[in-house]
Parts: sequence; structure tokens; C-alpha cells
Amino acid sequence: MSRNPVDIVTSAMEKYGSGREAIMQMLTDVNRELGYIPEEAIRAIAAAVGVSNAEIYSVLSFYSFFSTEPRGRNIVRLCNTISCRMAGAGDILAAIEDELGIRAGETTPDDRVTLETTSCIGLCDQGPAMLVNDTPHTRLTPDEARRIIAGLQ
Amino acid sequence: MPNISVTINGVNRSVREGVTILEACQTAGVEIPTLCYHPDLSLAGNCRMCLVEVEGWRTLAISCVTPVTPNMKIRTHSKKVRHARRTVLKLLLAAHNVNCPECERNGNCELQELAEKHNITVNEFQTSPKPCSFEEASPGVMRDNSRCILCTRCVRTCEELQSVAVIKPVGRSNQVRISTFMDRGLNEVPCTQCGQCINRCPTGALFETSEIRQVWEAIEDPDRFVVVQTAPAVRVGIAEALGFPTDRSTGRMVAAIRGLGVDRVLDTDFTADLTIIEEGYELIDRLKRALADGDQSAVLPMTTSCSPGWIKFIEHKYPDLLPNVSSCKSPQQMFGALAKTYLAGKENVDPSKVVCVSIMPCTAKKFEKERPEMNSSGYRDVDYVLTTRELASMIQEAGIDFANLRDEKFDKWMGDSTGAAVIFGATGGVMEAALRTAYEVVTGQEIPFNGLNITPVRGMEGIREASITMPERMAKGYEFLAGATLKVAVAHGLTNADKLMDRVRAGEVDYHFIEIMACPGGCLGGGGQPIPTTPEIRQKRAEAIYAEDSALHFRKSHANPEIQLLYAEFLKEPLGHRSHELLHTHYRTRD
Repeated sequence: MSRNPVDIVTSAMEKYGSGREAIMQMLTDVNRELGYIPEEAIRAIAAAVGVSNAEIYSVLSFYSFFSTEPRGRNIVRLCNTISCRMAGAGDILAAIEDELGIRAGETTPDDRVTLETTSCIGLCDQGPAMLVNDTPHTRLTPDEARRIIAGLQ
Repeated sequence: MPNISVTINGVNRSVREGVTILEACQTAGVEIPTLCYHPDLSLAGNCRMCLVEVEGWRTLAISCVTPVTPNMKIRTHSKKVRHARRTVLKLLLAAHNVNCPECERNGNCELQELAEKHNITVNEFQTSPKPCSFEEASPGVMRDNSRCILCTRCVRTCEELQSVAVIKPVGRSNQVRISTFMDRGLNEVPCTQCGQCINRCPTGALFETSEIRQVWEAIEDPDRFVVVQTAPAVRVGIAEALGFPTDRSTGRMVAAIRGLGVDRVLDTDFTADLTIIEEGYELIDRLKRALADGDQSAVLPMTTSCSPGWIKFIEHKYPDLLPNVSSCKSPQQMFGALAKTYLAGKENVDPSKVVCVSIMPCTAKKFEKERPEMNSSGYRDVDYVLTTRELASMIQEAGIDFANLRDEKFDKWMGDSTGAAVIFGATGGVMEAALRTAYEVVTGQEIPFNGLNITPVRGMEGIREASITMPERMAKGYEFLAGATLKVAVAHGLTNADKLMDRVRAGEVDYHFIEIMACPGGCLGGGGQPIPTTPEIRQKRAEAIYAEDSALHFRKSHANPEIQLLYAEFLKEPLGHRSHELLHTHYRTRD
């Protein structure tokens, strides 16, 4: 049972204060706990910091790891930047899409996995690379990628 | 600060230390193109149009954000600069919907003007044209992000001048757009519809929701009786909107509107005078209840209610202070309610045939007329609202030679006005007009200021205050005010209003009466006024407003002969039964 978004913001405020510099930490806490940032949380952060809702939305919209839509229990982020692409990220994407039956940007109907492509994750020397939740996987092959995906609960 | 020596294009100049390269060049009469720069706003330095070369620097300098240093050698149109600027301009144009003939700002667009000045005829970066992306639902302010160049002038306007902050850059990289909370429509977020963003947009990405077509249709329908009202600030803006220098042009404005083929040209100034009577008596009533009767329900300070941007702002942000707001409708809405009752009777026309058109310096007025409660005449009190710019466009379309028009007068019944009404168009004007009348009501004497000019409430300072001490001898019934000091304050621009209301909420101030106008400078700087706007332009418009006041025969609202007739024949008394039905309103809390 996950906590109410407003409660998450309240405890984040206790930890980080309510200055503008706390905005990112509040967003991170909500995103980590719920997997996304619901509208209620944006309103609560704006009220806590004393800025407009639009300001918080502007900040979170800059970061691709933040989402305003609910996502799957696992988030797979395949690097889509040039080094990984040259190392074969296209084949990896095709394999994962086939394995899951969804396209990048979508979530499986059972909410098991959300598949995203991402800009560089700093593993250019070990591409193709992806993040599964917080865990990096490097030098992927299509079969290896399928195996990792299939193992996600 | 001391002066320092710099070289601009090979010429030695002495400039104030601490100024930017752009300011130094402007002072020296050297023009540098700008887009994201605006004199009313903080510096952003994001458009890169104002690049200049500084000798010894590896890269070009962004002149609007770079301070001058001693002996700096600046070149504003070297080969490197020209090449960079042309590239920047071409990239901006390539990302812009360049369908100029279909744009509201065609002919008055900073991007178009720069393209012309830089002779950009071929753009190698141009790809397929961007489609329009109109936002249609907003009552006053419309957006088309396909024309946006991401300069963020609107974002800074909304945050810095208005403390509203509903528009922000959203997204990243080539997905950035100026948007709202959850990408909602402007009508679904706390936008006040003030239109200040429109006045500062360098392109046509922001513009008013137009009703020109509907107004032409009403004029062309022989069954409709089209009644036009003109707000105070329009008469000092219309010449400017038609390309002439800032000037008051009341008589020519009336002639031009009549020339469009409307049935009656009347004056919002008439109902501005009426507002003063009703609001003045409301203030006196609140003072009496609070000071003489000890009535706890009499809320002070009372604030003005004529600015619809301000009303929407307080409904969103200070709903607990709504009892402070005068219950008087704005002059526009008082006019509408009377046009379809009192005027229809005088003119012997069926009120259902009357079409009430307002010419306003304002975009929030388009929202105000749509408020569901604004139907006390039994009809929509005001049918259409045109901005000063839209009126100018109609005058041009009709081929009216504005420069050579002879002055004409407003039609009767609701066409008389006073200097007190004209100054509604400038910040401090409603306060001054109210004091001219209220003081005389309670003391029986004229307010003791030279020529009735209450200069302490005039000017462009963001928040101004004044106090007026009552004499010992008061008119009958107002003895409770003898020797009392009336404290008043004036704020313009919602950021100043916000500061002032914070202090009111905290109980830090003991004003009796507060005038608030949503727009910097008051209505003369409204979101429907000619573009561009700068502090200098607004100052000129204010001078024109006060010149008009001085030139008018009647200077006090209660001296308006048609107002006296309206009370004698129709309303009977200020704050009376009919006034409450037609001229007063209520407010609501908004999310």
C-alpha cells in the first residue's frame, strides 16, 4: 500500500526544508515511492515552496526520469544515444519490444514493465547499455536483453 | 558610478561603468537588434540576436547581459557579427511558423522586422512549414506556439510583473514549449487574462481572442441596434495603434467609430463617473459603519473593482480578502446593464435588438463580459469586446482616413463624461476621481488640491500612498469623519498588488481605500493597447490622459449632467434598489 502523495511531500519537506533548492529532492522522493509524480504531489510541492504549479511542472518536465503518468513496476531505459546505437542498440530495442509486445514509451497491460529510450547514461564504452530500474546492464546482446526482461517480476 | 572609456565601432565613448554593452551602444545611438530583451523585464540573454564582437575575446558577447569594462573595444557589425546574427535569425525563422499574412502581428512583428532589416530572403535552414497550433478556448488571451521563438518574455512578464506565473518553459531540448501546468488551456489555470504577455511578445505567439468578425456582422445586420462604448485609455491609444504618435484623439476616435456604421457611439467614461458615485457612497457607507456604528461586518480597506484582471487575481490568490473588494461592477459592465435597460428605453428600441460592443484597452474585459452573472439587464449585458488594436484594425479595413477626420461628439444619454472619468485610464486615476467626489460629499467643499489635481496619487511608482485629513466642519450626517485622516494606497501591476495585499492580509497597514489596476501604468498599459510598450510609452499615454482631464469642462463625476439625469429619472439614489440590481455584483473563490 503506497503512501498518499501529499504525505510523501510533507515528509520530504521535513527532511529538506521548503526552499526552492528542495524542489528536486521532493520530486525525487515522490517519483521513487510512487513510480510517477501525480498532480496532487505537484500542487503540494508548489504550495510548500510558495511557487506556482506551473513552475514545478516546468522543472519536472525537464527530467526524463520524472513522469506525470503512472508507470510499470519495472522501468527499462535503453540508451538511444549515438555510441550505443552504433554498438547495436536498435537490435536490442527490437528484441525487447518483441519480448514485451509493447513499443518504447508504453507499459505492459499487466503493469510489469515500462519501456523507455533515454539519452546517454554514461556507459558509452560498454554499449549497448540499459538501466533496469537502478541497475545498469552493459554490452547487451538481443538474447541477453530478452533474458533480463523475462526475469522481471 | 564613474564613467569609463570604451570604443564602439572605432569611436571612443565615455559610458557609465556597470552598464551593459547593449545599454552603452543604445546611449551612443548604435542600434543592436534584440528579441528576448525587454526594458520592463529581467535579462535572459537567450535569443543571441544581440551578439557583438569584443576585441581579444574568443567568442562573441551577448551584449544585453555583458557589462562594459574599461577600454573594451566593441564591434557591432563586423563580418563575424553579421554572419552570426544572420545565422541566429535564420535558425529562429526556421523554427517559426512564417505564415506572416495569416498572423495577427503581420506588420508589427519584431522577428519579421529583423528579417526585413537583415534582408533574409533565402533561408537554407527552412524545412516544411510548421502547422498552427491555436488554443481556442481562452476568453481573452490566445496562443499559437507555432509562432513562438522561446524568448521567454511572456514567462518573465507573467512572473515578474504580475506574480501569476502560469506560463513556463516545459520540456527539454527541441521539445521545449511555453506551456502551463499539465499543458492545460489558459482558461483552466489561474491566468488573469491580463494580456501583458501579448504586449511583450515579439511575434504573434500570443494575441487576443478576436471578435472583429462578430462586430462587423452586427453592424451589417439592419435589425440590430449597435451601441459602442469606449474606455478612457482607448482615446490615448488609438492614434498610436494606427501608426501615429501618442496623442489624445477622442473626437477623431468617435468619428471613426461612427464611420464604421454603428448606431450609437457612447462613452464608458459615463459609467466611470457612475462607478465613482456608487463606489464613493459605498466607501462612505463602510466608513460610517466601521467608524461611527462599530459594525464589525464593515470591511476596510475597501479596494476598487474596475480591473477584471485584478478581480480574477484576487479570486484565485486572496479569496479570504474578497469582502474587501467593492461590490461595484466595472464601468464596462455598468454600461452594458444600462444600455439594455435605461438606454433602450430612452432610444425606444427593443433591448433584445441592442448589441453592446465595448472598445477596451484590455483583454481581461473579454473574460469579464463572459462571467455568467453579468446578465442583470435580462440579456448578456455586454456582447462583444474589442481591444484598442482590434478597433484600429477595423478602422484600417474600412479605409477611414483617421488623420484627417474632424472631431465628433459622443451621442446622448450615456455620452457625457468628466475629467474624473478620463483619468480612470491611468494608475491612481480612480483614487483621484473618487476622492474628488467623496470629499465633497462628506465635507460640502471641494477637495483642497490645486486645480483638483491630487498629485500624491499620480505617477508610476509601483505602490503609492497618501493621506487626507478631513476638516472639523463636515456636511450634515458625516460629522463622524470630522478631523479624521483618510489613508489611501494605489498599486499597479499585479506584483505590486500582491505585495500590498500581503500586507493587508497580515494586518500591517491601516488604509481605508485601495486602488488596484492589474496592468503596469493602469489601463493605459493594458493588454489590449498598442504594441510595443515601454515605461516611456506609458508615461506619454499618462500625460495625454491628464491633459484630457485638464481640458474637460467638468472635472468631478457628480457634476456630469447625464449622470444627474440618470439618478433623477432612473436610479433614484446611489446604492438604491435599481443600483443593486444593475450596478453591483459579487465574487467567487477560484482554484
